[in-house]
Amino acid sequence: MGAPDPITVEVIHNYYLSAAREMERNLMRTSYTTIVYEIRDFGLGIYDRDFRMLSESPGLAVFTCGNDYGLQKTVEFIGKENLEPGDLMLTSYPYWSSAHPMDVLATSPIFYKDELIGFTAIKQHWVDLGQKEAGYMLDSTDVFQEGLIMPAMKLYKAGVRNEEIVNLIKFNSRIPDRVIGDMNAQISACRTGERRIAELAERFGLDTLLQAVEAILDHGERISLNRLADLPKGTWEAEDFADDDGINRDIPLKLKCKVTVTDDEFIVDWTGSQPTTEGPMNLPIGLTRGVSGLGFKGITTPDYPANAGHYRPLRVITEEGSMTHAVAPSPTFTLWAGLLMPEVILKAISQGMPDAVPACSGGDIFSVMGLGVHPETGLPWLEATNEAVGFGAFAGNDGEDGIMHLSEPGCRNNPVEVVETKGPWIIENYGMRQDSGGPGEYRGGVGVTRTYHFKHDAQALAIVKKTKTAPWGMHGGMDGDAGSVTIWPGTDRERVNGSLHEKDLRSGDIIVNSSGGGGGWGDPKRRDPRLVLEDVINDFVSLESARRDYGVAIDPETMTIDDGATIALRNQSGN
Amino acid sequence: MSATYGLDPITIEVIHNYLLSAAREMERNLMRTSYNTIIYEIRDFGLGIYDRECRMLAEAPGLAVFTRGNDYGLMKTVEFVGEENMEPGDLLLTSYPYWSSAHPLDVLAVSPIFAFGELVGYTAIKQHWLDLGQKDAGYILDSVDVFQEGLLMPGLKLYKAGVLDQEIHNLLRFNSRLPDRIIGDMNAQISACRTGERRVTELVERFGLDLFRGAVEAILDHGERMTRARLAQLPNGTWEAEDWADDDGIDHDTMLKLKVRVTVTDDEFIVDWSGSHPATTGPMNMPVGLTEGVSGLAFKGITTPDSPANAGNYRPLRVIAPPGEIMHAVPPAPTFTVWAGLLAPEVILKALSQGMPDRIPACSGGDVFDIMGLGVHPETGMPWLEATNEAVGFGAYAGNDGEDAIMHLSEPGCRNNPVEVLETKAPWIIETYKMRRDSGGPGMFRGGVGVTRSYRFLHPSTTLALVKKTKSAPWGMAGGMDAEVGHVIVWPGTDRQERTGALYYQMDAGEVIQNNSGGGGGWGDPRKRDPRLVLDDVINDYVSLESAKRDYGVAIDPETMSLDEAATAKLRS
Repeated sequence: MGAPDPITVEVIHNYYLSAAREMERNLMRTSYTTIVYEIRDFGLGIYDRDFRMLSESPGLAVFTCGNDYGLQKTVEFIGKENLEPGDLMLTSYPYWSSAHPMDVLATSPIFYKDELIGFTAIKQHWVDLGQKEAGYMLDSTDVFQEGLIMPAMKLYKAGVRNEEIVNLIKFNSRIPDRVIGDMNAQISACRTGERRIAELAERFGLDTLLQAVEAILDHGERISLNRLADLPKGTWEAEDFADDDGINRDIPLKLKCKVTVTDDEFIVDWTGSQPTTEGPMNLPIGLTRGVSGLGFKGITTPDYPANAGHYRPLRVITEEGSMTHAVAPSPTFTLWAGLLMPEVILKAISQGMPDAVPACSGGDIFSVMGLGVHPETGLPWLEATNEAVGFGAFAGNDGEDGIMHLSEPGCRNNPVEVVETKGPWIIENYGMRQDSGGPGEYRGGVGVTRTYHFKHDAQALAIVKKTKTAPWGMHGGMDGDAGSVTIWPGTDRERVNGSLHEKDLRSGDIIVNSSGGGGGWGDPKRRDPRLVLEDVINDFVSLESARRDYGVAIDPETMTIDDGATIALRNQSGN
Repeated sequence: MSATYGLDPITIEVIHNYLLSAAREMERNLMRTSYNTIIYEIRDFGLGIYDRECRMLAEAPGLAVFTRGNDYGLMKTVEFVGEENMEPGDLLLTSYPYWSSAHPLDVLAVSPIFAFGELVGYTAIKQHWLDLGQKDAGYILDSVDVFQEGLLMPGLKLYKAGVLDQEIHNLLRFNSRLPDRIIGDMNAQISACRTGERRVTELVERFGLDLFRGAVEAILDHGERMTRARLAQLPNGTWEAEDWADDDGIDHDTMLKLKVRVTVTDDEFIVDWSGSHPATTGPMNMPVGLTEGVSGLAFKGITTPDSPANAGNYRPLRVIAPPGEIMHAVPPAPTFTVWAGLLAPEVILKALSQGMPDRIPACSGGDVFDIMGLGVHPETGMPWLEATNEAVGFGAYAGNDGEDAIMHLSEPGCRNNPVEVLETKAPWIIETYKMRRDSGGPGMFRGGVGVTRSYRFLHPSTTLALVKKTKSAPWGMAGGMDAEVGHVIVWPGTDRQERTGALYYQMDAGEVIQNNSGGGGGWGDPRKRDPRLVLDDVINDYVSLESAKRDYGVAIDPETMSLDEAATAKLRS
């Protein structure tokens, strides 16, 4: 039988894509927790039997690419020969799953007529697995503090659920009902994926399917190599620093990246980054590969749904035992370095292609979490949300204002209405953050501000690791304003932080989350004054910044440009 | 048919002794195959054989407080799993503390025993597992909920009908910092359970089901009869007493009240802990099964100390502990340092002493004086973890001195970890190990002395002391004086010398921790003690010349080491 025609290949490809999308819908419609169904703190995909990803439906993008490695290690541990139809495995050993232990990877083999033809894989955040602190951890010192570790366990064996394991999960969680509810959603979504791919094999026959899979992956590789050929060749380096490891609060952590582009390879080398950290900022190697892939994909084939073929030209180098390649049992809980890394890759490559790469975004996901016992129900509550940031400006355009960070393009924020319904707090303020975008000929996008007013005793966490280095501007554009989290603002004990964990908040306490703005691109004095006026009218830029940074004078009474004064300002500093 | 269920007493005794010997064989099996000194030297375990109704028939106590707690743990495990779901070859693990009646690192293994296809009983062994991924390596002194305390196993079937659940086995390995050692110890535990099963099955097959069941009733009824006979000899009445544990591990300035009210009637012995400290923030809360266990320990000691324990012995006992107080932990309250349970038996004795002053000893050193060290061994590069409890002085009583330096009454089956073993296993040396002079409470009958052991670390390590009775002195009785309270000294003789009970310390090479266990209280006026006995004590270094003079009114010539009778008479008059 010959190779399937291109139309059949596309039909099969789209069936894979649509099956992944259906898994996502299934998961979101049946999960119990806003972290899954609102924020989309998950990543899922469908794989062939050699662990090559064929389609995905990214929530948190960094998850999906880490799943490749997690799936492979899971099957290695269990043994391919021990897989049966109806199996479902759970993996939360971070050095395999490529995320922290509360991001549990579920995988299931797909069989067609007793032959293994692929896998589904879903990673999602479980709200509690008995880790040392309820909610989240910022200061673990080994993996054993980080929750129940599941080393590729068969939760289902040939379709039969191991009740011992279910009991174990229940008893090791502070919020068992929600964990089990979300787990069932996850399983159900895996089953949906299995069913669709088995249908596909049934419809087209196994031979056609297998050949189509090769064609899909080869096509992915081809377009990736095509784009690679358009990139400038060379080697460039860049650095950035994450705030701290959660224990040694005064030591910023170096992320050093050397990017080499050749005709057929894209090499990302993290050698020289921070040595392993005492606190939980170490990255599982699978995640380092994943986020490097995210940077690579964004540069080469941002407009195609991802598959394993796209990544064939990518090579990632790490030093085992450094922060970007965690060795057991080093703690990995706050794997925030992984959120910063894609932009360090962009920063390096911008030296070779300044017109194609944007300035730095707000640079983090600005996560805030609240938890406690809800006064109305007497039950534990736990809500979290990530926050949008400003994007970096680039040649020809301003950065986007207030959109989700590029590590989580499939994620959403948790809406005010939902957050207030679920937790005993109110959102007093949610607005764009004036002047947070870096001034430039093209302005960096602004971040946002959200203010939480607690109405009952609770705990709060903020997880942000980029508050000390500013989002860089490019080409003479100015830096964006780094984000921060402020607790008890306007009081004697006001504190401005990145990450924080306050265990004894009282009714009336306030936390303000201010996400970072993107860097500007090009000299701000060259920005069209009319655009600056609009920014001022829209409250993105203050009158002072318009004058100081952009050299644009605006009459505050009439809100019109004072042309004479503007020319004078721009000449005066025009040097 | 007589009250012996159609059985002659000799057959009953043969069956009884077979069960006792089976428990002893389980113990030997466990000790000879376990990997850790904590089990094979210290005997930090408790095991027993039960009938189908979870009634204990025979035990081989290591840490005595474990075995009685196992009764409750077994019952909850069977309730959770369902008796109807038990199959031959099953083996279950429980570490949910509110059931297992110990902290989560003390894992209860249970296996059903079958004979002629019928469930006839259970084996149960609780032992200390070195690491189950609890928040701190080694031990925890400051947990605030149960989830920080290690992997929680709710009656998990590790073996189902003889088949190992490989998933759970893997999970145990991956959730421990010391996987090889915990799996080694677990296998010893399982093997000991299997030994018990085999012996009881043999027994039932030899005598038949009916005869076995009859014998079980006879053994338990006999246990009850003996206890009731002793109970009838006790004075009836109600007495109260209190003692105080140091702290809950978080708030170091608040002592924890243990209050008991003991009522003895003709047919009941009621131990009521109501009014003890409320639930603590730190891990000093007691699973109720353990409260029942330690109350039973005191009761057994008062009534039938001379016969092996079985469930019949405890029938007249009733224990009251309101949920939410320190003696009855409610999930998810932390329970890791269950030390209130070690102090509790002596509070019961203190209450009873008011009604029977001549039968009850003064307080002992009052704790198990545990020291643990851990780190990475410089010679092997592997993690090491060693611990030992320490002997204490026992309280004196009417007619006799307290024993010097024997293991606390909460752990009569335990031993200390010998110097030679500790030094072989870990990078430290024991610089001092001796009786602690003047630690016994002076009295007409002297309280036993505690001991001192000093550890010098040869390599940077972590150490922790685990003692919760360093603030309230072991009481004397009938005019006998209190004993010297035990305590731990970190960095003795240096600028930063620190006295502690329960804390973690990072030690550098060359640094020292010194464990001083408490002495027992004295009984009766020390001035009435035979001066020749005081002289003996001084010669043996149990009592100093100063104490002899000050407390006993005995003058001794330090040159000749002989009594100065005239000076003594003067001192005493």
